[in-house]
Amino acid sequence: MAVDTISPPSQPLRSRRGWLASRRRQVVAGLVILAALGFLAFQGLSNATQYFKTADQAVADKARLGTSQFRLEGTVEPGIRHDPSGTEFDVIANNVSVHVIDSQQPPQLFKVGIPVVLEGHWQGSYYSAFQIMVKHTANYVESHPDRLKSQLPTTATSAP
Amino acid sequence: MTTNAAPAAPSRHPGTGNLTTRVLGVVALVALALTAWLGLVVSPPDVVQGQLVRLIYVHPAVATVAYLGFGVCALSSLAWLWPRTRSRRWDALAGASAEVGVMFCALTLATGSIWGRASWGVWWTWDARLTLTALLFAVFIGYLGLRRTGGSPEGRARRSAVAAIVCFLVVPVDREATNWWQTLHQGNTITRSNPTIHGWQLATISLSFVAFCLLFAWVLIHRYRVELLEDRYEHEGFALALSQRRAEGTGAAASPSPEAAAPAPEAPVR
Repeated sequence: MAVDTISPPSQPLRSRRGWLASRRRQVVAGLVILAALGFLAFQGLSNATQYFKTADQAVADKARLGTSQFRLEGTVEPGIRHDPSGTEFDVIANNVSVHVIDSQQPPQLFKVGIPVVLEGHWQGSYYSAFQIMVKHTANYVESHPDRLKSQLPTTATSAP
Repeated sequence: MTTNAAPAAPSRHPGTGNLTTRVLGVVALVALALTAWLGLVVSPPDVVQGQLVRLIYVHPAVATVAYLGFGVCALSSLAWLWPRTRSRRWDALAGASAEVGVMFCALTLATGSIWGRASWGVWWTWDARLTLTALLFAVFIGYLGLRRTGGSPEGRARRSAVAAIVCFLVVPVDREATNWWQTLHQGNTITRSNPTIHGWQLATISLSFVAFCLLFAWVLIHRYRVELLEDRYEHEGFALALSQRRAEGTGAAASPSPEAAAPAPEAPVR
């Protein structure tokens, strides 16, 4: 007579299975780490070495860049024009100016004299941007009403 | 006869606090409250960033504390690897500081993202500083995962210690990213020969570093003690399970019962 004899696994077999499960978890953890590292390193290295081109570099490389997408950096010059279709302005870096036409609304800190990084590409004689990122500097200056007041007498006395 | 009686509850649970940690906690809380008051009320807005500048009283301090957590983790791991100083306590400290570091690193990414959306106009961009901070977060998450894998405590501690030192290599690269590469992220403001922040802004940001470091120390001490308590619980639990098994064996010899004949459950393995 056939008897269904399913006995619990022997101790060495169980410990072997435990070891395998543990090893499997280690391999999975290692693969997850490697995948994360690989993805982030790829993203970082492909962008980090030259995150943007300054306006003068972009003009110098214009022929090579063609209409491919790249980031452009420069300081916003006076003469910003806003209209429903977007924003037009010039950016300057190392005395080289680039005319920019942007199709999106600029961020709240966008103004004349602030450095910006733009995402877009050359479109003939101008740079067509679809994103403006304000690149604020590491300089912080308190804006308090008393500063001008305290400077006024000095300015008044030093004036000719 | 079976002995399923629960172990006698200890009259007093061991805690993770003492007078020092309570004082430390209160000082940290006062420092954080003072930072909030200076940052939100006393400190004026910035010429360029306006009210957004107030995020500088949180974000850099939190990022620095994350670095500090990973630094403590790497140093503790070195102490564990060094044969003369090898002790389970270093491994516990490494694990605790990595957890706290990861928590502050997550806060760094979150506060940085909020600040970035408001000032730059984007939640995220793949510049060197941001990418490396995300990488740092990911590798230490992996480190914490590695600590949870099985094996002997010795082997697990060794693997973790080596991994912690390798993971820590990202920290100095991340720290110097704004100096080595073009980034959207701003450069150093305070840690330079001539700081580019002054007055109340400088005072508040300096206090924020102190406050968050105190908070880090407080959280780290508690987490470290929890780790040691877990160890103690594990050892005591094992000893208890062993004594129960012995008692079952004695009972089975006297009067065999189905419970005694059934295969005993495995001792919990962490």
